[in-house]
Amino acid sequence: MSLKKRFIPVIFSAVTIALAGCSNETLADTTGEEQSVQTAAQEESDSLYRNDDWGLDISPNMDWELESEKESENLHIVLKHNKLKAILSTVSSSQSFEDIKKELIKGSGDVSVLTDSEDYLSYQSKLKKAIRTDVYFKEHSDERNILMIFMSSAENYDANQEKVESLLDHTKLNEVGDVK
Amino acid sequence: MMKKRIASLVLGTTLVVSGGQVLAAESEEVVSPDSELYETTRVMEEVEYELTESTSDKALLQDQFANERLIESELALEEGDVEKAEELLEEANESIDQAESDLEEAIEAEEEAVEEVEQTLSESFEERTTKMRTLLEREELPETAKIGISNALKQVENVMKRAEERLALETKFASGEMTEEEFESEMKEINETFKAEAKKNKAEAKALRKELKNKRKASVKSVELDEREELEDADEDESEELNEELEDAAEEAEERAEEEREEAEERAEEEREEAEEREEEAKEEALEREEKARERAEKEREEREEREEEEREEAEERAEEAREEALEFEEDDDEDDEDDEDDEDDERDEDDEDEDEEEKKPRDKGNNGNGKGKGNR
Repeated sequence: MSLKKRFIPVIFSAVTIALAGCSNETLADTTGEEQSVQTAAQEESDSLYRNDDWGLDISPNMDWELESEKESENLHIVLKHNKLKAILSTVSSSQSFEDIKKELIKGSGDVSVLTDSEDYLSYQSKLKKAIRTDVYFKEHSDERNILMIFMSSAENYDANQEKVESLLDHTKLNEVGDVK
Repeated sequence: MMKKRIASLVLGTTLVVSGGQVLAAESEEVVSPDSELYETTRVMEEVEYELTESTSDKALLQDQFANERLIESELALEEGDVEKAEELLEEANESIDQAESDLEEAIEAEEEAVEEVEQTLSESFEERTTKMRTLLEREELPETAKIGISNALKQVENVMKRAEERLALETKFASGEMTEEEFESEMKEINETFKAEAKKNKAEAKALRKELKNKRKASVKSVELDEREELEDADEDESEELNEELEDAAEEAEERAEEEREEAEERAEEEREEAEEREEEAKEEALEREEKARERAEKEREEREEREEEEREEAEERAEEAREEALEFEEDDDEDDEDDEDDEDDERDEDDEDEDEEEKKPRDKGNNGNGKGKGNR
């Protein structure tokens, strides 16, 4: 009898612990699911710009703002930071960056090329207050690549470098959900 | 038929307006409207224009955009895309207007080197004018295009004439032959005359367009009549005639709708121009009012300062007078004091004399036995 009395609390404790363990596990699982949903939602709301169809995600940085978005055969978005502007354009991967460079220069009128490298091109207009253009070529998927074009007055180029680098760092090229 | 007309108009005007650019098209390359990168370059163009601060630079950019649109329009025509060509031609015209408006603004703001920009644009116009005149002589050129050329020529001539007049005025002003007021007033007069001439040209163009439209209508009707007669001769059945009539009615309705649309556009354009003029006048009036208010304020300030100055001088005078009076009083007091002192001295002298006399008296008394002298004192 005394042995039974001794065992009852032990068994009760073991059952309680086991139940509590299971319950915690379930709670942990639920929390995990909720967390993942929450993180995704937060990520979405935290993005400065996100477009899963084109696999583009830009997280907020250095007060960059979205100015406009245009979707047709390609995606074109314009972001601004005071007098510095960025154009993000998709382009089919069938076009080489060399071809793209030639086309861009053709469409920019009278300009002086400053740098021409493998995945970067910079040039500026010949007006009284020249506008400088910096083009970064980003390989994305089998179908599309991305052009990141920064434009500002040439005299502000140095002052804007930090903002340019910040936007380049905060732009993620994700897997394309539904390639157009 | 409509498409053909537009095509000829676009082709004609493109060749005309970009007359100076036919050669330029060979050297100046543009991104074809068919290119995948065309949209990107147009977005870049917009951004460049937004970022450009100097209005004279903006004018040069719009001139460049106009040339590009005209070349692109030609390319679109070569590709057989008439609608795109027409759209691009309209955009070219918008850019030409914007260039003119930016140049006006730069002149008004007296921007640095604006004369050079005006000269550049004027040269660009001049090249086009020469080509336009050569093209006008060509017999095969469609009538619509010829009307377009004539109007464009008038406009270009006006712009050049104005530039020359401005230059002459500036030279006179620089050499001191005229005052700043005369210069400003004459400059204003030139601008107003230019605006009036531009308006007149537009009205003439409108009348010509209407005339052309009527001619076209008449020709369409005669063709229809011929066709109808042929149909009657052929003794076709009534249902076919009915169908033809229905088609004719539909065509007429379409033409009417187009006319109405064009008229509405013209009205809207006129209203827009009038609104702009009113806005400009209001601006000028506001500036004048501001100037007058400034002058009034300046005058009031001067008057106030004068009054204050007068008051200050009066106060100083009063203070001076008060000082002088105070000095006079002091002097009078001194004199009185001196008089008093003299009196006292006199009195003291008199007393001494009396005392001496009294001292003498007992001796005299002793001699005369008369004590009246002392009692009289």
